[in-house]
Amino acid sequence: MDRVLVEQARRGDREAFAVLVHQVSDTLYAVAYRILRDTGLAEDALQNALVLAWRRLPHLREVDRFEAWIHRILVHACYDEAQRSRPWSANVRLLPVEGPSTPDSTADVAARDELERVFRRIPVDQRAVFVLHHYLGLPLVEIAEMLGIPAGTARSRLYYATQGLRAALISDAALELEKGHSA
Amino acid sequence: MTDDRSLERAARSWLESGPTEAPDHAVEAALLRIQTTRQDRVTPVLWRLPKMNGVARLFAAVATVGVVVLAGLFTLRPGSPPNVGASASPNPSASAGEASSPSAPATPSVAACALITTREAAPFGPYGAGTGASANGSGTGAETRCQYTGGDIFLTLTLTNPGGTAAFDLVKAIPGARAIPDLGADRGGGLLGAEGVFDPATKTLYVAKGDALVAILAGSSAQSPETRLATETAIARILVGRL
Repeated sequence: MDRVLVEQARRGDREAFAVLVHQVSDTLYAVAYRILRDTGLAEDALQNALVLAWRRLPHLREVDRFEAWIHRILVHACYDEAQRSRPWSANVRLLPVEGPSTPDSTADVAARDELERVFRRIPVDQRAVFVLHHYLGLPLVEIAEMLGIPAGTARSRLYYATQGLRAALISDAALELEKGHSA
Repeated sequence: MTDDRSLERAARSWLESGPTEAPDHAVEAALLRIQTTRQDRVTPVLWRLPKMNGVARLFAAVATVGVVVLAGLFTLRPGSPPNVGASASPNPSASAGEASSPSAPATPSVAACALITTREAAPFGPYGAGTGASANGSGTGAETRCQYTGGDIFLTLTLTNPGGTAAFDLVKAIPGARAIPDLGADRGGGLLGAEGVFDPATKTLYVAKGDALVAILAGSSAQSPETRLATETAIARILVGRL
């Protein structure tokens, strides 16, 4: 991240901030989408996070921590969007062709659908830690610092997210077996 | 897929598969909003030391309590006037005179009203000395105004302090304004560092001293400029020592 750009933006330079936005928006959006699992909500979270970051930029003390700082703002924007979102909101976006070059097997597709379904049941703060850890590859200590939470809390959120996923998958598998037996 | 390793592997693979680019319209919309959004102002907290250890905190707390106690003792000490500031007069003799007269009207605690007491102002009123006068103060900060009435308003003092020097420069530039050289003589004949300018158009005498400027408007509109100037000069001589 260009330190000079951050300094300029901090002093009110909108053009410098626009350059920063173009540098970070892809990652921010990718994270937001993975936490919220909804393109519309992710776009709203991204927009709100960017505007809030612009407003609060003069408060940023450590310019070198800009990326961690803006990720923190984004995660909080995701919390807000998750609270606002309705459980019945549909995600009807047509996915762009950017997935794996080889087509997924039926089993893969089924597994992904299953993950998609159960991931939405996990609390959003646990989802955030899960995404930051498994998608961005951040260590838990860094996630804790980024989100302003104790390291133990970050660890437990990741643990409960993983356990929640597993429990949901086992439960769904048992349900499928039950259906098979009764059929 | 329910053991931890395979679950994490599957989850990572699944997380990788989503979108990786922010839609242009979302980014543009954010930038558009930013164009009309102001950044927060950061005001430095000057009253707080960056690092205060326990001893420093204790000292600060003791000092604060001490100041509060001393202030309380000073304010509530026996014999202190019950209305401090309400009728304060910079002239000790005038204050004594007012204190001895229970019917003396109070002078408001506005800076402009502290320049001359109602008792001192009364002789310049339409009914002369002994009829009394009352004062109404207005304004706060650098500009305050005091109007003395005895039936009608007969004296208006407008005090500018600080900022009087700059205002006085503007006054001196008024066309037709003339300097009043014999202003502000104290009992020893000194000028007390004051300057005077009279504007015949508005019949106002301006007296400047230090960074304070007082505009004196006295008398009635029927009076000639010279009469007005004489009255205002007499008032100026009373108040110039208090500027």
